[in-house]
Amino acid sequence: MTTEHGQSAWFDAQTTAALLAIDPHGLGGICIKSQFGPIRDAWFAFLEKQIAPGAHYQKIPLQIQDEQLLGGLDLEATLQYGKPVYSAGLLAKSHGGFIVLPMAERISPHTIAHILQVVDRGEVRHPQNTAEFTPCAFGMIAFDEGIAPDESMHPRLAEHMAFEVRLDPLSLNNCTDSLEITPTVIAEAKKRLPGIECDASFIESLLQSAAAFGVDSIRAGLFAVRATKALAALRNQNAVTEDEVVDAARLVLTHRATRMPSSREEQEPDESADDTDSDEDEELPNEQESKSEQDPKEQDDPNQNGDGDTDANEPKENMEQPSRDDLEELLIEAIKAGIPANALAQLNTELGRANSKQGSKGQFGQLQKNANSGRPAESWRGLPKGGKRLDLLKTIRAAVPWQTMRQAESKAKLPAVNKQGSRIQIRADDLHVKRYQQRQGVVTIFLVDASGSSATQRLAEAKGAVEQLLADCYIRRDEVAMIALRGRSADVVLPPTRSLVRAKRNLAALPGGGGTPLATGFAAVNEMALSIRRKGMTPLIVVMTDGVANVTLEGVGGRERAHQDALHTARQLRAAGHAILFIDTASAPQALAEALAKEMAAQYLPLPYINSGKAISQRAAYLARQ
Amino acid sequence: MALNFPFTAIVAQDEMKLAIALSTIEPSIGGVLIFGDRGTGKSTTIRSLAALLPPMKVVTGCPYHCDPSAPTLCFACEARKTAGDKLKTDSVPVPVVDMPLGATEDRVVGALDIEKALSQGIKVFEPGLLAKANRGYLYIDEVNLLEDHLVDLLIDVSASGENVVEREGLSIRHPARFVLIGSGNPEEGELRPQMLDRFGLSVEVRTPQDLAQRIDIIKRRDAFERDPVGFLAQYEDSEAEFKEKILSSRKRLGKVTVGDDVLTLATKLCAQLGTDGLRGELTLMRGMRALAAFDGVRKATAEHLKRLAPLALRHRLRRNPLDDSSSTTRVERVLANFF
Repeated sequence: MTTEHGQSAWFDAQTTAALLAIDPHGLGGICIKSQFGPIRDAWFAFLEKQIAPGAHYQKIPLQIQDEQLLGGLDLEATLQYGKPVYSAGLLAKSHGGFIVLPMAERISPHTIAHILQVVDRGEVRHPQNTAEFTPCAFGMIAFDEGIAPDESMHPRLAEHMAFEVRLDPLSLNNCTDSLEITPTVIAEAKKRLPGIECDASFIESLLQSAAAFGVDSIRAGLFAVRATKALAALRNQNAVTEDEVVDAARLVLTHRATRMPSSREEQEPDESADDTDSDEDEELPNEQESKSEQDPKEQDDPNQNGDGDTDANEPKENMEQPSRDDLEELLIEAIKAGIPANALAQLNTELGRANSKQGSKGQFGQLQKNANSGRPAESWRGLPKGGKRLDLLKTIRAAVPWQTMRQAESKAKLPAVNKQGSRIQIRADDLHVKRYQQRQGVVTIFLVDASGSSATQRLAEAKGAVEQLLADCYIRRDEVAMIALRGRSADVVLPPTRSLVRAKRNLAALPGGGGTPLATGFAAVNEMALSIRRKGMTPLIVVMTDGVANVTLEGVGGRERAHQDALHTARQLRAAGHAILFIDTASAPQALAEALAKEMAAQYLPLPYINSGKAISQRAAYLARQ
Repeated sequence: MALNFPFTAIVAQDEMKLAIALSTIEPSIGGVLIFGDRGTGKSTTIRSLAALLPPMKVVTGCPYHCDPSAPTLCFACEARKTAGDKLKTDSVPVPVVDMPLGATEDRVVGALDIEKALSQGIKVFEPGLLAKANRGYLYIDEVNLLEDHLVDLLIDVSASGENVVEREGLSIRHPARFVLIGSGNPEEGELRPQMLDRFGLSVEVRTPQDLAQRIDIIKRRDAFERDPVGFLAQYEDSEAEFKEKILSSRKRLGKVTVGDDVLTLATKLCAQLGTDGLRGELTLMRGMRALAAFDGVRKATAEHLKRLAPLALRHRLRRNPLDDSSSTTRVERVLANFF
């Protein structure tokens, strides 16, 4: 990264810290995507030491218990003093300060749910009197150290934070200079903030550019508006100007972009298409009279007669309000500039949209992995032997009702020893051990040969089978994935998912045709199956092909070589010991296909005998149960 | 208590607002399922609901909000009565209980009160969220991500209206009748059909795509944050009006009739859509009654059926792998044949 670019990125990172210090609850938080290191430390030191030194920074450990987080009975103190002691949770203690979430990519969805409920309400339950709430507002600082593409902070949490900062591309000499912000500046900005207004036309521009980048969430718009105000406060102004709008758009909207804006001509029909379902014109008039008296025309233009006939509108808009149009251009440029170059290429293609969604799904898979490797189940009465862990809370719960009786009993027996009657007495009967539930879900991977002329029919059957399987398996919570062979490559068209909606969407636009790189496909399916196994689930492979390979592992044409490669990779599948269902899709059973099936130790089924998606799904379910 | 954004200031999302209004008029419709993206105002809408509900009469001090006029009271109140306690009556707001995704079974079902056990050595039941939600609303965000064992529990409790606790030497049953409101994003996971069935109505929300609406949402939110008291004052009249409308609809509800012709139509509709069981038809009937009452009329018509059918039926359709269209389209397609 060039020095100049790196420098401004560093200043942006510092600016977000300052903004969060000014309006912690309003802006939600900052996600620092970076590995542990001096730059991250420097950023945090800027916040903690330089600009907001007096504030409370509460680290939330990964494996935090609900009682610690939300407050409640303090078991330790209670046992020590022999009477109930309540303590506020870490969140309540963070009121007015910040919570720091280390390794944010690993926080459990449960902890996230608890934190976000408090964030949403702005208050937390009183630890003792649970009918009451005490105010609780804080800013969140999340350190996301995820490396793999599917390893990042839960999208639910990300949604509640205004900013995301990537520090990894920066070098140390980008970070030698620092913005000159003092605690006094922050304190004054805080005082100024409530009086600052953001002009309605600015709000419109921000939302317009958010829409252009496919930022759908209303919360993003809200964050952007709040960021303009915090920026104005920081800059010692009493009102928001264009500069703040541009900066806020860059800081809040850039990382939320899901697509690149289409050029102006394409963009308009897009919007009008969305407008067609709006029968909300009843709502518009009163909103306009109340809020946009200064500029009623401007509001009319894009919304009411903006449907399609853009050419007629644009010059008019330009004549009346040149600056607003310019501002939108400026915003779009500012956001575009912030998107990393490689991501830009991705966003530009249609695939980019799907990919960004895949990113968020991947996290779920990752989180579910944790759940699979041992979800805590109800504890059992028993002794903590053989590696079993004692469930302290359960044990105490079990012991507690008997305390009065036991104490009276033991006093009678050994009056000298038990003078301090307040100690809790635990008997072997009370002991509870933790149990974990191992739930091995099945992931069915379809490898579909989408080549040649009969591709359409085969794909339709495979799609039917995928959907049938998903429809059948809510209760088992199984997942389905699909890899398609087409041309020279094997593409993952559906990463493992349990969502029928998602499967339908991904499979709807699946094209067919091209060569048959069977070997590449087998290798890809093997890789996916192994990775599923590592996550603690069981892969089941369904191969749908006529067995005629014509593209080799290197991606070159040639039947003989391709077949040899296919046989070779098939053996690898057998070696890995996967359960495989081989469906011969040719109109009559093929020797080649049967040979391949044998080589991978698969169950071989010619399609004429098993001719519907439903039948395939039943076979697969049967195989999975074995 | 933090101030909530007013219900009547929520822009668009008419279907969601209608479904919630109907569930307040006729709670036996059985809950609302809201499916949609993050940041569509689901939580805001649910939280704003509390302000619309008229307060209810309860037995003072009863953890389950017993209705003093009910024929049977909960075990705690009955015990007090037999002990010769004179039960007093209180007026309290209808509870709207948030159940977080990560709630433990202890917190949901209730558990042994450790405080009492420690300090007094007695076994006392500490009621959980199900008790708190009795006669009110239980809201579960991301309901499709809920742990399986909690789903089982909710499926059971919402059918029986009773929470049975058998744990830690406790043996207790208490009333737990509530309107279940769930929300979630279908892309993140499916909901079990049995759970789906517990919801009377379902709606699909999206962020308004219309720019004017989006701008309006932000502006109102901005105004609310700048001056919540002033903003609430601005909507005081419309809130009062809506509250009044709910009240009068409730009164009207008992007098609304649903003609046999409309019921026949409803049955045919369910048959053609292939919805499982009778619950679809029952929900249609109750929903039509509530909708007619909400409209201020005393007779439910085919028009009411048409408006209600997508809400009441779209989550009850059997999956059809050969039909790619969404369930909403499927309901609408069949409706088009009927009307």
